[in-house]
Amino acid sequence: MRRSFLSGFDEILPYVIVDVELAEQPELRTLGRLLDGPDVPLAIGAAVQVAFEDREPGVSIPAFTLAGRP
Amino acid sequence: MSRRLQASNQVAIVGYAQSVVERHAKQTLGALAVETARTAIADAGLDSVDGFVTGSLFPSAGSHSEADGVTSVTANWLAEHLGVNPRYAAGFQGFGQIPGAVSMAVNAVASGAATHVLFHRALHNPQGSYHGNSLSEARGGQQWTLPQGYFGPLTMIALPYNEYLQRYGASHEAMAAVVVEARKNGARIPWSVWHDLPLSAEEYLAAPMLTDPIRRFDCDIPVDGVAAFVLTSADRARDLPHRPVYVAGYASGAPIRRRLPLHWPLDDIMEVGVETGRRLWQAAGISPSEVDLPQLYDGFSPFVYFWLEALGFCPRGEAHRLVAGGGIDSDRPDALPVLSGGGALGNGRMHGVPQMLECYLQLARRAGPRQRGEPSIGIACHSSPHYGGAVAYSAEPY
Repeated sequence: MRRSFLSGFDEILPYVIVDVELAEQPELRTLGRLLDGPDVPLAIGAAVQVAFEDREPGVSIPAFTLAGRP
Repeated sequence: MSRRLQASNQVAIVGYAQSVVERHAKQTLGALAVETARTAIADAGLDSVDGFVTGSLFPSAGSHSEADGVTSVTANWLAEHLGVNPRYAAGFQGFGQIPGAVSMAVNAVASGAATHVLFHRALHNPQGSYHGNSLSEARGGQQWTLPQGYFGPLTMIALPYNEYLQRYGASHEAMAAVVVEARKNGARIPWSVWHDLPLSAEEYLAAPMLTDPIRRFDCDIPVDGVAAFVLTSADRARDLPHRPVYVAGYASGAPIRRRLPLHWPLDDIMEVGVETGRRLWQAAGISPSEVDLPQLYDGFSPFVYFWLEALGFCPRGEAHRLVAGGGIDSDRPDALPVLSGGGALGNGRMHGVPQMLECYLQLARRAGPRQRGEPSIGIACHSSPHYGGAVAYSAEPY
């Protein structure tokens, strides 16, 4: 994402959104930001794990990081 | 039991009008709609109509204040401002407004709910950011997408296009062929916002990336514009001035897997899109090989790939190779002229109007210098293959 169209996102541009299928429930898909930065190489099928992004006190948003990276 | 539409070829388009398509019209949208409707009714050789249909959605994710007659024009608004107390006035809700509303016009005529139905579509480009939104709270399904920064149609289409690029090894240069083809044909259309403004592949590839992998010219440009068509029965059509173009069949999207708002995975689009196509071929009683004027929807360029494959014009994953090899070049006699009417990319954000208009003009032999011989079967698609739909048109009843 290079532009969000929503207020409050300009300071985190550019950011990456990933479409994630849960290992525990195939076909259930959810969306979230990938916290590894905009330049990390990505391919469909890459494993991710859930993370939480603390946006402000009391507000944590589910997000993802690539799994299996040092 | 035959799945053929019982009213197949019993209702016809008998006249039309298309306003100039501009970034911002000088009149309000309502005034432009009244003027365009009057022109269409006169074009059909009529004084009035007794039915009105549209799909009036204002397709913006932005925080604009909406008003009937200003940001959109409903069927009842148009009837009232034409001074008609209609026997039938209705609007199609949801995506695929053009095939959805055309099907309502066909059903109204076939059932006798109205004798002459005006179908119109009015689209508005508001001042300011088209999709910019100042909302600060997310409720319902959006609580799982907005805080993540997932919002708006660009994000919606970027995801399945990325899946397509990676899964099938498609190149950005292949998509340049789609956009260049749309703009080439749009440049030849006097009312288009892109009249005399073709685009080169180099210009397409050099334009800014908006939401990767969607570039600026993968998106149609917001405009003010109105189109109107008059439909009546095949029997009445014989006595009217223009050659009728018959509605052979229609189909709208099939049930869709429940997803988060604007989450359109490629497999959803294609699985349901194939079913949309199957319904269309059954309703019209034809096969893809009989279509000589396919007009595919292109509000975002990847939809052209999705429709080519969903309707069976090429195998899954092969659309990018077809277009890269000149397979949709409308100037080649052996190609599929899927954007000969310029589409939305070549006309401006008129939704599925350019596809419907090209089918009408070519099958009625009214395309003037752009007339492509004597095509017999056209299809006009709108929106995505899974949420949208398509209408099959015929030059002769069969």
